[in-house]
Amino acid sequence: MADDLKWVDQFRNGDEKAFNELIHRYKKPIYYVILRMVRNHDDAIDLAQDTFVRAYRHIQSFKGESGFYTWLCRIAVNLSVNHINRNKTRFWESFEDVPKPVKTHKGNPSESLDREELQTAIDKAIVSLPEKQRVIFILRYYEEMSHQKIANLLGKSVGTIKAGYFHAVKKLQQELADYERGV
Amino acid sequence: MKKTHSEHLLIDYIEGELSASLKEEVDAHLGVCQQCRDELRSLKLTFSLLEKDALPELDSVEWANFVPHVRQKIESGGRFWDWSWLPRLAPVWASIGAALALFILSFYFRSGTPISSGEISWIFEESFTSMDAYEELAYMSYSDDEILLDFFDESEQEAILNSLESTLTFDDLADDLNQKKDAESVFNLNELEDVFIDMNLIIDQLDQMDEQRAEKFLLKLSESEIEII
Repeated sequence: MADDLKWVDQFRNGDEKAFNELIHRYKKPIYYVILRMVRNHDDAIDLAQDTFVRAYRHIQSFKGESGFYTWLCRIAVNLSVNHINRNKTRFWESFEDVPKPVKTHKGNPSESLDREELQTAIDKAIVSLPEKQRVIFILRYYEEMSHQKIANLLGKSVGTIKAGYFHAVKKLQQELADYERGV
Repeated sequence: MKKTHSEHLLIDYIEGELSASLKEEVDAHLGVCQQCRDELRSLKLTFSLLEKDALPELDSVEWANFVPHVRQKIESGGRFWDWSWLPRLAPVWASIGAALALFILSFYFRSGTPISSGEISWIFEESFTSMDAYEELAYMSYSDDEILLDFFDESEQEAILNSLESTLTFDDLADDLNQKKDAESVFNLNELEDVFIDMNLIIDQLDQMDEQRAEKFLLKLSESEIEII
């Protein structure tokens, strides 16, 4: 938003309340971006707070070339990717006991599934993505960012982003295939 | 249209990203290709399932506590900046010290637009000397994180990884600490994990430095590295 720069400038000039304004504005979107990536509330809230701590300390490096939210997203993505890498084992352990869906051919398959079971399947499918594909998929599908914006955010080419998104969707399609068939 | 061609296009087709002419082409192909119609149906089902990814709403108390918690972390110095435990991990820094030289070399001749001296100070102070570089390089040794490795060219990547293969890595240390299971080891492991802060912001700054400023920064970096080890 245009007045983000105003708050950033005020904060740089010593107005601490201006930074609070930026936190209030972006705490929810940042929390949800992170939550989609790390799939755990406690970790997401902690990482969202750390994102703002990092932004507070590194505000001088924000040049205003990208939007403030895009800049925050980049910090959030980096923190999340590091977190995911450090906790790979833990992620998979949490899904070890997830039951396979029971086959049924009645009615609309997705509606007939138990809500919780489907959510677990989605969690598992998203966690199964390599972290880079996961980031690209979440920014594109859930955050509805353009390929170009994601490319700028991650410092990659648009082609790389498109390829990553394609592979992520194919992998999710494969992971959720049983559910698609109404299994 | 070949299947492989259409598979790539189908996602753009669903998302309405195709040009009018390309969309017409895909429509025409879908009219005659059962396989692609099946694929389209399957992709749409995948997206419809993913739309059901429901995230819990935080309650108002948690949101109300958010800013105070951020402020608390800022005021306490945050976990990123508590380095009091570092001396206990001295062997780690020493063992991956060789990688720092490669890191420095990789940036030594980079050039770009000048930045202010204040920003150099920021990099120097906020990155707390060379610790972040050490951690990230150690981190790369057990990760296939191309986001970080992409900053180096192929020969540099190879040199970094080769160098790290022969030294103690984070995994080695983590295994060692895990085996000990004493309170101090667990504390060290948790702290070590917590300070894997990313280097991208620092790299952004380095990319924008002219050669002279980069040299100055790297000189400070190397001096501080000697003090620490």
